[in-house]
Amino acid sequence: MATTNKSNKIMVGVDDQVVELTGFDLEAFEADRSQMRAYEAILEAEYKAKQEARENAIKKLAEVAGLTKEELASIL
Amino acid sequence: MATTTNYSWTTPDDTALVKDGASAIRALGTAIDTSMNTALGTKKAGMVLLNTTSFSAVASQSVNNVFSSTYDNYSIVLETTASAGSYINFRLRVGGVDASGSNYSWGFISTTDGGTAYQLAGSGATSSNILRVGTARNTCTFTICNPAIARTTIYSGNHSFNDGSTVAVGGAMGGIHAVSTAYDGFTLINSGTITGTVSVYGYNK
Repeated sequence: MATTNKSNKIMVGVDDQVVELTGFDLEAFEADRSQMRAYEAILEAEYKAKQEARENAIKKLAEVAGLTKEELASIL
Repeated sequence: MATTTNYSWTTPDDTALVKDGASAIRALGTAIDTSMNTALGTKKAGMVLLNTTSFSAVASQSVNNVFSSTYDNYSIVLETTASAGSYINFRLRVGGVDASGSNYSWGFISTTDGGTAYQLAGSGATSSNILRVGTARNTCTFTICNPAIARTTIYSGNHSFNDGSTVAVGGAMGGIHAVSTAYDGFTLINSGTITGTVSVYGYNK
């Protein structure tokens, strides 16, 4: 079982072994993860923006149609 | 004469003569052959467990040497918790090195327990998000086609996750890795740490 109890260290599992990253490997791994996090943050922000835009559109449409937001959302 | 517990195959008694050993083995082999043919005919078991790896508090988990020419398609079953709300990123791997080029395109859509859709997608990414995770239990099961063949690898499956704020009781995911290379393993990467188990099954051809 790949396991570790070393806190504040970056441990990676390779099959049944656990390896502590150090030096260049650690820097490369952290840089890689930072890039992943940044990418994920962009995607999440885009998704939230789309959701907000959709919510606003439903709200406006509901006002025009004389429906509640929930009533309109139920048929979309 | 002694018999086995489940199929009542005949086996020699402790007092049986050694000179009758060949006949006894032949009789036992014939009985097993008959039982197997009755149960399976010419069919083989559909899935074969190739690997199960448990991991605890690791930033990434790599599994090597599970994809080969023996099977075309595989099922990966992941059950995990994470140190915080985040994603599990998937990469193919060969010779102990991750395929980290910008060649992954992926997407997933889920339904939360409140009935709200949650979706995310990426294109030209350096890894594939396969599951959103949190400190509660999360699971993802997906089929990966032709990872060990030098052609585009495709995968799809389903998941259930709870990241602490979004509870998805069901969802689907999929992705492609648009590189014509054969891979023998994969890596799961998290922005924090993950704990859990991952199993790989091969689909018999």
